[in-house]
Amino acid sequence: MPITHNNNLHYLEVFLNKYYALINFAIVFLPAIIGVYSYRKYKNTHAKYFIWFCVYVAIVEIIGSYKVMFEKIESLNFINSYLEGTLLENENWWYLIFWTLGGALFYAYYFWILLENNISKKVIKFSAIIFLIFFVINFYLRFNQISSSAQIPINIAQAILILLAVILYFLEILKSNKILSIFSSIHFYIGATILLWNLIMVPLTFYDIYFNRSDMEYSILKAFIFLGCNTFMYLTFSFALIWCKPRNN
Amino acid sequence: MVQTSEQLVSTDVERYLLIYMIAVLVIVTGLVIVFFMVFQKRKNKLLLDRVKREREFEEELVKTQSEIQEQTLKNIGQELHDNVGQLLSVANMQLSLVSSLTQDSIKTKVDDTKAVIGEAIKEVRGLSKVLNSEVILNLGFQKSLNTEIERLNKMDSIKAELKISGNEGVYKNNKDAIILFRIIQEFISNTVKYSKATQLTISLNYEKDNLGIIAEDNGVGFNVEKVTKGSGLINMESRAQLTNTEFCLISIPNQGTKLLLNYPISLRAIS
Repeated sequence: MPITHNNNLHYLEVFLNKYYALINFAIVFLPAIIGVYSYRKYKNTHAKYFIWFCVYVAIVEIIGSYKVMFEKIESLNFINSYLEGTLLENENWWYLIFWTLGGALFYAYYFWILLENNISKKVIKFSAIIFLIFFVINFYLRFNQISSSAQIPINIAQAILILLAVILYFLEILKSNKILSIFSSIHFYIGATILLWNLIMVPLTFYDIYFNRSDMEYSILKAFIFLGCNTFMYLTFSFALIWCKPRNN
Repeated sequence: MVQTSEQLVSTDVERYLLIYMIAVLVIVTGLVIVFFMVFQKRKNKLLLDRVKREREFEEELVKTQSEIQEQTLKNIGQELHDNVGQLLSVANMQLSLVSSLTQDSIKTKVDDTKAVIGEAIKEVRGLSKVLNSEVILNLGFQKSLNTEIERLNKMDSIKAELKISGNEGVYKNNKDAIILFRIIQEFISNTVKYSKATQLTISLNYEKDNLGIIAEDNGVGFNVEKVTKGSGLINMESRAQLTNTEFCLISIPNQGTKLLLNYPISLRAIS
C-alpha cells in the first residue's frame, strides 16, 4: 500500500479513528450472535465449544477496549488519568492473558477433542503444557515491560501451538474418510481461518517496534491489516456457522 | 531505518515486504485449500469406483447363481421327462397288457391303477415343462404361467386364476421372462407350501412401457418384518433387481399375501 501522499494518509487516519472500533466490534460480535442463534443446531457436536469461545472472545473484546471507552466517554475520562503510570495504562496485559493465552489454550483443547489419533493428542497436550509454563515464566520475568516487543516470544509460541494443532488435525482428516464431507464441516473452516490468521499475525509482532505516533504510515498499514484479518476471520466463522451441516459426534 | 529520538520509523521497503509476505501467505493457504479440494475429489471417485465394482460383482454373483439354478432345474425336468416319464409309460403299457389278460373282478382295479399312472405321467410331463427354461422360452411367458396355473388347479386344494389385461406384449428379453417366471413360481410355491390359501390370483397388466404383475393369495400371511428372510424371499428380491423390476411384497397375518412387480418392458428390451 503506497501510502505516501500526506493528504491520503490524513483521510485514512480520520477513517480509522472514526470507524475502526465500530467495525472491529461489529465483526467480533457477528459470529457470537450467529453462534448463539444457531446453538441448537450444534448442540450435540463439538462445535458448541467453539460457539462458547466466540461469546468469550466478544466479551474479551468489550472489556479489552476499556481504555478507548474511557477516552470516548467524557464522564469517564478521569479513570484513564488514574491508570496512567500503572500496568493497566496499556491494555496489552489483558489481551495477553485472555487472547494469547486463553485463545491458544482453547484452540489446542478444541483440536485435541477433535483428534482421534492418540499420538497427536499427546503431542498437543504436551505442547499446551509447555506453552503454559513458558507463558507463566515469560509473564513473570517481563512483568514490568508488557510492551508489544516483549511479547514476541509468547506470540511465536502461541502461533506454533495453534499451527501444530491445526496441522495435526488436517493431517488426520487427509488420512481418514472425513475428507469426503470436509467442506460441510465447520472444523475445517475454523482450522483454515485460524491457520491463516496466525501466520499473518506473527510477523506483525516483529514490526511492532514501528507502532508509534511518529510512524503514521506503518500504524495505518497495521490497522488495515489487522482489520482485514479480523474481518476475514470472523466473517468466515459466521459463514461457517450458518452454512455447515453439523454431524452428531 | 530512520531514528527519530528513540522512536523508530519503518521504511517503504519494510512495509512492502510485509504486504508481500501477507499476499504470499494468503496464496499458500489458498493452495492448501485447493489441494484439499482435489484430494477430496480423487478420494470420492476412488470410493465410488469401489462401491460400483462391489455392486457389479454382486450382480454377477446373482446372475451366476440363477444360471446354475436354471441348469439344475432343466436337468431335473429332463430327467423327469425322459426317465421317470418313460418308466411310467412302460408301466402303463404293461398294465394295459395285464388288464386284457385278467379276469373281470380284478380288471376294474387294474384299470383304476392304469388311470392313476396316466395321471402321474401327465403330472410329470407338466412338471418337467415348467422346470425346463427352454420349454418356457418356447412356450412363452404367458403359456408357461397357464401351465403352472392348470397344474395348481389339479391339486383341488387351491383355486388359481390368471387374469390378463392390456395389450399383450411380446417379450423382447427372454432371459428376463424366465427370471420373472421364476419369481412368480417361487411365490406360488410359497403359497402352496405355507399359506393354506384357497385362492390364488395372478394378474398381468400390460401397459405401454411397463408390465405390472400382481400375485395374490388369501392365506394366513406372515409378518414381513418379523419373518427371517429365507433364501426364497431374498432370491425373489435379488432376481427382481437383476431385471430392474420394482419389487414389493405385502403380507398381513391372516389376511393373505400380495406380491407387486413392475417390470419395465421397453427399458429392458434387447434390440
